[in-house]
Amino acid sequence: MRLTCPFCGSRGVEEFTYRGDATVRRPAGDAGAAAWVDYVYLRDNPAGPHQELWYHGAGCRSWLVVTRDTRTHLISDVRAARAVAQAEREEGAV
Amino acid sequence: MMDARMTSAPVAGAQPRRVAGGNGIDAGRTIRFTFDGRQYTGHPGDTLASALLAHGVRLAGRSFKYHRPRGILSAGPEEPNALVELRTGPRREPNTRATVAELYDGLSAASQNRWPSLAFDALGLNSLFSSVLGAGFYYKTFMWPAAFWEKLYEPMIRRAAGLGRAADEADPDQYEKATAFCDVLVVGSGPAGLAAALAAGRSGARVILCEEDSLTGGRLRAERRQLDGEPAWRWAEQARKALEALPEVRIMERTCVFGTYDGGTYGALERVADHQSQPAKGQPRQRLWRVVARQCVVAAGALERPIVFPGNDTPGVMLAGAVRTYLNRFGVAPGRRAVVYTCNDDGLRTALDLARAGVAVAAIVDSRPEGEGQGAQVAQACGVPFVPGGAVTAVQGRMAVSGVSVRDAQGREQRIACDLLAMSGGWSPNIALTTHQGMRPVYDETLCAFLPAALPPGMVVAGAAAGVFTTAEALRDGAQAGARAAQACGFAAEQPALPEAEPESCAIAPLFHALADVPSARWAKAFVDFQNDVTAKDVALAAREGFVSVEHLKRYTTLGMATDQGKTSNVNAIALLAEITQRPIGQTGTTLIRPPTQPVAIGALAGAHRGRHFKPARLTPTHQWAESQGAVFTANGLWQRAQWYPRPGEMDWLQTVNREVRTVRQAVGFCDVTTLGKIDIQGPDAAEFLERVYVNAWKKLPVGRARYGLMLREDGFAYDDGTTARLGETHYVMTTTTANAGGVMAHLEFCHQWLWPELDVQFISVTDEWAQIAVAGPQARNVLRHVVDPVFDLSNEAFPYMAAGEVTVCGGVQARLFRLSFSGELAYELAVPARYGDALARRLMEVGAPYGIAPYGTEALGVMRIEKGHPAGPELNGQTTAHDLGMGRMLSTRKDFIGRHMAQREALTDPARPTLVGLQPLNPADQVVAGAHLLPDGAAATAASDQGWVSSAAFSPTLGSWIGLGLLSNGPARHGEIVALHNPLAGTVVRARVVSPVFVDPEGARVHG
Amino acid sequence: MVESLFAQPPVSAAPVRAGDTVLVLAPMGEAVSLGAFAGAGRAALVVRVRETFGVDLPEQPRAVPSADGQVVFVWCGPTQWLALAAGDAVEGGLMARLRAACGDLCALTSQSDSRTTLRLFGPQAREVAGRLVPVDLHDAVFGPGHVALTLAGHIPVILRQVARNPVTYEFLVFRSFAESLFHDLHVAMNGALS
Ligand SMILES: [Zn+2]
Repeated sequence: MRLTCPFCGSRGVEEFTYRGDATVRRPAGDAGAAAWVDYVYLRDNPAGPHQELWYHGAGCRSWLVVTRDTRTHLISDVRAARAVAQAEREEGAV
Repeated sequence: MMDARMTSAPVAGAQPRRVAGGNGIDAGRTIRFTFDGRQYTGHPGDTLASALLAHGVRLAGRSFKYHRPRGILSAGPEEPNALVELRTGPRREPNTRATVAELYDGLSAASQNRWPSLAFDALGLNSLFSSVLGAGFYYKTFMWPAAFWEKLYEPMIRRAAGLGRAADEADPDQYEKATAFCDVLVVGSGPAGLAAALAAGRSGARVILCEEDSLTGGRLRAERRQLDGEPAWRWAEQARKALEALPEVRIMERTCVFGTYDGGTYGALERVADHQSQPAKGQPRQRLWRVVARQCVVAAGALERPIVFPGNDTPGVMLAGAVRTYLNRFGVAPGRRAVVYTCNDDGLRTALDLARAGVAVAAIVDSRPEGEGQGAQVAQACGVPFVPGGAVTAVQGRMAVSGVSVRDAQGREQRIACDLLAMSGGWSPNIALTTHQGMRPVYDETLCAFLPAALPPGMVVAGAAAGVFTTAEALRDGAQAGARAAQACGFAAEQPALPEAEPESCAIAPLFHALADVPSARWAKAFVDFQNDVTAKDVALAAREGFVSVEHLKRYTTLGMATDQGKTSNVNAIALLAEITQRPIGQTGTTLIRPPTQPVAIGALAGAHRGRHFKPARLTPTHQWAESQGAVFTANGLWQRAQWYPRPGEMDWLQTVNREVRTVRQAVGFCDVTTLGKIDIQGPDAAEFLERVYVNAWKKLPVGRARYGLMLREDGFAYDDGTTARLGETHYVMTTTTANAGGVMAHLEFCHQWLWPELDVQFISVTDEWAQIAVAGPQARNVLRHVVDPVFDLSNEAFPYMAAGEVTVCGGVQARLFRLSFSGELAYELAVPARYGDALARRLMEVGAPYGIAPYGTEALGVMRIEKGHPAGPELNGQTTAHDLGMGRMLSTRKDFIGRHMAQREALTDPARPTLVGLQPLNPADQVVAGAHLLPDGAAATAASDQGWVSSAAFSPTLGSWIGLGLLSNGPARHGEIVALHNPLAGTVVRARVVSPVFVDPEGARVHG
Repeated sequence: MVESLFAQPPVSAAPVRAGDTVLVLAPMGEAVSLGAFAGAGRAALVVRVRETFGVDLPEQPRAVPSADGQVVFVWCGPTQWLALAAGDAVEGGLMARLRAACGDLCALTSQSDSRTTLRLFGPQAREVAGRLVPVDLHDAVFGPGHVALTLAGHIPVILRQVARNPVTYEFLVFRSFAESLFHDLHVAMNGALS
């Protein structure tokens, strides 16, 4: 499998490490136990496009949000996690 | 009894079956080889199979299960029968297909799976019991008693059903791995592949053309066919030359593309030196390529199907296309009197080629009724008897074909004497590469073949692999596919001018077996899968027992599960199953083919990463110096670290380590601790960031001070620990454990980039930048005074415990000094730029000599940390919490940090959780072993009474006793209690007292000294 | 007081050669990483470097020389660069010059001893590098000035091409890995020659 790092270009998957679901968000400091259990343990397992966090550890050390089809491994989108997180904050602030 | 000489008695030198005109051999040169110890000759360009056939040798091996005599079925990589041991000694390679083993001078091969000799095989008796060795035999027979499996059944089966012998010594050759990139990968260099490569290559696209054979051309070399009025193989050579002249085209012969992987990645194996007796110096035997291609044209051709009839495995029964390959490419006649048995027009060509080469053709048997196909015309052209609507119902001869029984359309049987039966059940497109991603092929009734349907992205299939069987159409199809692939990569591709091909017919009527009306007992000798000895009867039996799914059939009968992956058997098996279950072939199913399509040696997959170079070694800055001191090294992740430094006269490592510990506790020692992860953290929000990743507080840490920090995972369990020093207002340097250095870096980046992008902070590893050396012991300060430049005040007041700062050493070398202690003694860690690490070690030895200095290794380091009760890897095992490690009070309640919420869960704060304690055996000589269970004194060793475990253990020279750290339920409340350390592996129980985990200097006075 | 410590090279082997392709340890020069602070603005750092060094910090995996040729800036990630001094040429030291120029806008960290430079050049250099590095090194894709942060076999490297004639690559590798990478490159050189 290959991933196209937005900074480094197309690379083999051996340069990356997988972390997991990119759709969960860390709860606020005062969130209840249920929110934390959800965040830490509960994951969907969709058949189809899925957003995941990958780390270009052997390259530019960027965390990436990758959209991968879990059935075909087709990668339809790769973004810098930092840009995604920043954009969400700006949206949230509006 | 029979002797090997009775089957074939060639004269060394003479090649009685050689005929003129082999386009792929150099008949002017003769090379020598041996098979089963006998000398033979051949020509450059021969395979082992073609050279053996040239000598009339037809018996090549014994079958897997029944030890039946087997000959050479094919002329290519699909060969299921002629498997040999190639080479000798450490280079001996079993199960090598004689049909692809290129001949070289001095080649040595041996038949396998026979004893004592190929012609007389004692275990050939298996054949007599074949009725009990049928489908599912293993499952049914070796069920009970279970103990018999290991002692009796398995060794017996392995001996009887063995294949070749692996070499007994390590492989002396090198292997290589490499990556290649291209726009268009073309797999196969037959007419379609060559045309595709020309079309794509001429557009300027970067093309890689892979051909698993040693020569390009594919079937163009195997057939007597004309292109533009010239022999077709000449055109193939010209096309190759034209491709060679294109700068962006790379032709890779002897390179098999064996797998399709995600994202346009292909696996290929290049046999760099397999055609030589041994690789040249520095040369790899094989090279594993990962080819990254934007587009791929699969022009892998097709594989001819055998016909299933009784005795179809007798040596001398050969695929018709293979017969033509031996005639036309190798100049070898595989027999003197042949019968051709076919269901299609392509097979008929065999009779023409045989007749032209001077081989007598005794009959053409065509399964199609009279008037269908071109059988009558061909028979007439060769002057050969023709049997339309016929079938071969039996084969005479055991070690080799001596005749066949043929039944005609009217049901009359006759025996025809012959020594060669050329059979063709039609061609199956070689679609393996199209199915590796899970795409299933569909059955085409007209072509009697499975064709690729959906394809992986970027892949096209051309030529015979796509069911396009005539040369003219394959050329056109290939050119189109090549042009389209180049266009998809943005190149303006045109179709190349193609040569004129003669008209040809590939008409076919389905024929998979000739079993109708054959007595069922004879089905047992009608082979479907030659390599795994699966017969038509086995398929029928499996179906009768309910295994009617192809996947079940495969597993129950082992059909298609040999090293040939059923290349010649899968389609026939599906067709048989379809008939038995009365379903159309297309609805009976297919099996998915997995990579690799050809056997790939583990050595090639490992490449250069073997033995000492299995993984890279990271060397510390003092490595060479430590080597010169006779240090014994140990691997710590990738790092090589000095484990201890033996001295002359020391009896064992324990004596050495005890001496090293005593040196630190009583005088001074030093240890290279460079391997601890070091991360430079800078930025306006650096302090805030540390607050969020560590459990404890950081904002109030003054510049010039260090602090111990503990990190949790988000689930509340302990992750890593280390000290972090504040070097400036917005500048920190963090240390991590050696094992987690990379992981903590990724964790910090994760927290920063994903969780808190608003924090302004930067990280970079400085692990390699600094040679960091711990100097520990009561004399540490005195030693350092000789190293650190005198302007820096090292007094306890000026540079107290946990102080950190920049200094210069040895007359101006920039350095960092930290007053940290892992040993519990007065201690420092001195960091100098890595290039000076070696010199610093030497300097410390010099100036420390009057104080009794000695280097110490990781073992002494470990003993001292156990004596001080510091948790390390065995305690930070991913299952322990801060509370378990006695650090529950470190958790700040005034801030958010990673793991805070989950750490507060009831189950994680339960005082009954196993918690860190010290363990001191009542008898100091009783060895404490890590992993022992902790039980109440006198309790039975049951799971119910298990209360924890010993995590770390060592002999403490300071206490003169074995000691341990353990995690014990309610531990801190139980100091003074006696527990049992139960080691079920050794069957020992040691009684020990629960104590504080800090065995030495519990008040911590020494570190402040 | 003159008793300074001797500097030990990171690789003990002498240069090695296979055919006309050569692998050497490049001399140790000063190396400093620049990590842009967000608050002050990455753009401000780019401007400051341009004012001082006469060159734009690369926005892509590239290496660019300063106007005076004394410093090369190597892209190392979306907010990081590695400044490499060409020999001892930088007046007053590279770190001091960077601190004066942009110390307030970015994290400056010495990497002089973190990184070792192995230089590979000659007619087979591309072939050899391609054995270890899973990146497309075709001349049209990866030429002089191009940089790749990647793996050479199992070893993380910053690879850059420094010349086309002869093809010359520099592998910037963590010092502790230098011996291993040197060995792996040497094996690849022999293999590529055959
Ligand atoms: Zn990247």
